[in-house]
Amino acid sequence: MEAKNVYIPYQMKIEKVTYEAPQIKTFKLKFINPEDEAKFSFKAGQFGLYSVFGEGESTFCIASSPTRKGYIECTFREVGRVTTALANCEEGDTIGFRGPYGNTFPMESWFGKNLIFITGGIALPPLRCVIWNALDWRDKFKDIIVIYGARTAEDLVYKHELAEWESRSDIDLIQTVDPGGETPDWKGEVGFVPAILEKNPPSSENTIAIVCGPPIMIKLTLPILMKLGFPNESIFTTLENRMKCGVGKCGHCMVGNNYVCKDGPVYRYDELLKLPLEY
Amino acid sequence: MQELHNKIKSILENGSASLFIAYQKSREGKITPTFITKPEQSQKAYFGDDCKQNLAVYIHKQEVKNFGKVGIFANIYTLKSLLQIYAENQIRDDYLKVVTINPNGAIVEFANFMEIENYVNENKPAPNPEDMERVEKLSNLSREERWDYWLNELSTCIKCYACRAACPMCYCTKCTVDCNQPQWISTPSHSLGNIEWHIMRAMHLAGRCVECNECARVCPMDIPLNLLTVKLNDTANIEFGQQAGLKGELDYALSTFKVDDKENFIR
Amino acid sequence: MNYKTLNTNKLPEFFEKIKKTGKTVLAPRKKGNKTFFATFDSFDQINFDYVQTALSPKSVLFPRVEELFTYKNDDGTYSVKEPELKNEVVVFGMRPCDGVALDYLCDFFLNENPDKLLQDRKNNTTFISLACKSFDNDCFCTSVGSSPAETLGSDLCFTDMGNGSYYVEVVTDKGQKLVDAFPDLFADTKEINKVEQLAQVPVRFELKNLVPKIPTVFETNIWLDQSLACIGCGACAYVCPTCSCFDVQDECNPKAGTRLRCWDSCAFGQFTLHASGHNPREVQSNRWRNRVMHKFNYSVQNMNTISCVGCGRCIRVCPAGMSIIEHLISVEEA
Repeated sequence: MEAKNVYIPYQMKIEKVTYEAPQIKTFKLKFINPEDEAKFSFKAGQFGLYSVFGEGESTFCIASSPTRKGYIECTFREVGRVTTALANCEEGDTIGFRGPYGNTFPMESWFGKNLIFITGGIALPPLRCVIWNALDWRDKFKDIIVIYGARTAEDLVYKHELAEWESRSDIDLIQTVDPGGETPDWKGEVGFVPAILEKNPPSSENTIAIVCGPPIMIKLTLPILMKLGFPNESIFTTLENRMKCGVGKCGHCMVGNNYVCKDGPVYRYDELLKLPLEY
Repeated sequence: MQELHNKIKSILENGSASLFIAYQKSREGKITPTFITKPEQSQKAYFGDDCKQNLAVYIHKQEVKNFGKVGIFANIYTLKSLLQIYAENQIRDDYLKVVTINPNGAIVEFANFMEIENYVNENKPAPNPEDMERVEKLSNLSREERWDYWLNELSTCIKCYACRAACPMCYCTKCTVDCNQPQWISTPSHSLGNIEWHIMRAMHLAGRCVECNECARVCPMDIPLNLLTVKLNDTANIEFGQQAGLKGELDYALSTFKVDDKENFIR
Repeated sequence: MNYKTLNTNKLPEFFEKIKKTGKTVLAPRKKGNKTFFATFDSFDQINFDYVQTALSPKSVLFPRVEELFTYKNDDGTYSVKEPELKNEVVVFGMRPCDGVALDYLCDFFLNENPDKLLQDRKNNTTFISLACKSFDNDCFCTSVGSSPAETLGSDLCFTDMGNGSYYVEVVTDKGQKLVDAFPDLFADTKEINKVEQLAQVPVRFELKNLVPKIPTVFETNIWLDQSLACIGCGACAYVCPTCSCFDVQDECNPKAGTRLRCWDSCAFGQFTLHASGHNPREVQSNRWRNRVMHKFNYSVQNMNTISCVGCGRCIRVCPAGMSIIEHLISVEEA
């Protein structure tokens, strides 16, 4: 196979910057070179490495749906050198993007089933991609439920889209904030995501659960899904280990013999159980 | 050796430490640290002139701290390191049980750091004449020649950070080189990044280095890193009358401010 | 395979002639008590009295720091330039175990998602191994399926036959090309039994027992016991001929910059540290376990081979005197 230098990023123009929550922004990105755009395609669950030239690369998912062509979106929290540099970028600026990398959610195998998305905080972006993908293929799935929580009402991301999902009849959205995180006009639930799941128990019958969130949320959510009768094979999650290359070489993301960047980031729970707890 | 074994045994038995760090000769014939938790393992401990590693480095290690109270067999440099670490408020007096072997071959157990202070001042190791000679030689070079010498040496550094890891005085939980907002030090091991790294490390050790020479001993590239800190120590001694590892109380020029400082820039 | 002989006193001429073709020749040179691959001006700078070089020849294919690309920034418009790797190199004097390591390294970097930089460097490099006449206590190639007679991964393999000539095994086309370039230096010969000339390295553990055993002790205290002495530096990984982990770093001024990759090690706490502060391999024993598991289990699962060649460098370099031989034996005995 003829090798090419995979570290050369696509150049992307920041078309739109959306403020989502404190320190969280969404970029809408367009390919500067139309040839790059023409040969680019991805599937739900995949990620990329976004870079500010001179500052470095940072890994996050593609948060827009593959059904929406011509652009990609990413949502990130300002936590380190690169994400801070990204956050300082403005509309019209050029950034780098490499990808798509990693495996995908097997959405085709979910046709005819109910989907329940359970997520918290900044972990909605990877599922937002899947949710919009499912909504764009709405007739392929039965019920779609989203349980989404954040520390406070202010910390919820995609507030405008949450409002849209609230108003749609083909998706059930349950929003929750941690106790004390509600505003006076808060209409959603108050409580941690696992408790809200328990309070609104979905049927495990013919249902796929997609769980994505901070480790503690996942840890407390899984036993509830077990109790509700979800088999391990019906539960999906994503891992987010540190990554530097995206192509299974740099070694940073390894969990056992798995390179999360190419064998993941999407894991079915029964597959995840085979890996050492190094994520 | 029997006396040492008995001492370790009694320390573990009487509960003054639940882990004792000493040297051993491994199955492969290497001198390695051994971590003794059971009194009956005490005979693993070994001591000889070939025991070079500075064992003080282990008292910073989380998995060692997990054992609770720790006993440690210390050569003179380990003693100096422990005293300097104590002076820098990184260990409590009641956390460590320190044992050494004095020049007469007798086992000495220290009740507290005051005793260690007295001991190291009575048994100060002489500076290594070979190192002094090399430092002297470098000092006599012109600035350009000296720069070329260090550029040549440091350009071979592979940034494995063995110097940092082996140094008991490099105990920061997050090293400057690992801070990237801003990126103070260039992390790649090109010449510039290497020079930045070693100058930064040497400066952070000026007047704190106990001259155990571990940094040079462990360097896979055989860079004589100790010459940098030895020279800076010398300067700290001349300028501020300071010597590391001889006092249980912090008196550190580079973190001290005096209103009547003779330099203008500091006001 | 083709077989040749070369008079040992023709070696200086061989190197001079290679250099005249514009290639760089790297050979073992002494610095202090250690031997490193380096360029040389005269033949007498080459050191032939070494068991093993301190650093492996992996840096020829996978340098400790290398440019992924450079870019120019013209008011927010970026032009990116890929490095062009043209320099041709001949490495002389690596040990046969290093050949095995290079074979692994190339397999790892080039089979799936092939790495262009490593590929280019490989195409430009000819590796000549010099079979071992001596060994030390830290050598264990014969315990991990190799031996001083191994030719895998070398382009040419030289054996000093003790009679004033090198027996030259021509392993690859690249090796053949180098030999063919200087026909007056090399004479044809038949296959010779070279084993008598080589070091007899003892077998220290049974790999076929060890490999299935290692995953079964994953959850035990053995890793903590072994790694309490580990001070968490990256020396073992950096001298290892098969360790391939790296970091990616940017450096720039306002007008231009470079994206670099540089060696990294799973022994560093920062290696797996998440931005959130969560660390999947929280303590040193987890990191040590990962290193051993990678070499003797993950590589087997992913590439059907262990990724340790028994060169012994990690043992010789360890500041704390840790020995992988000892640790593997203790796993075998567990």
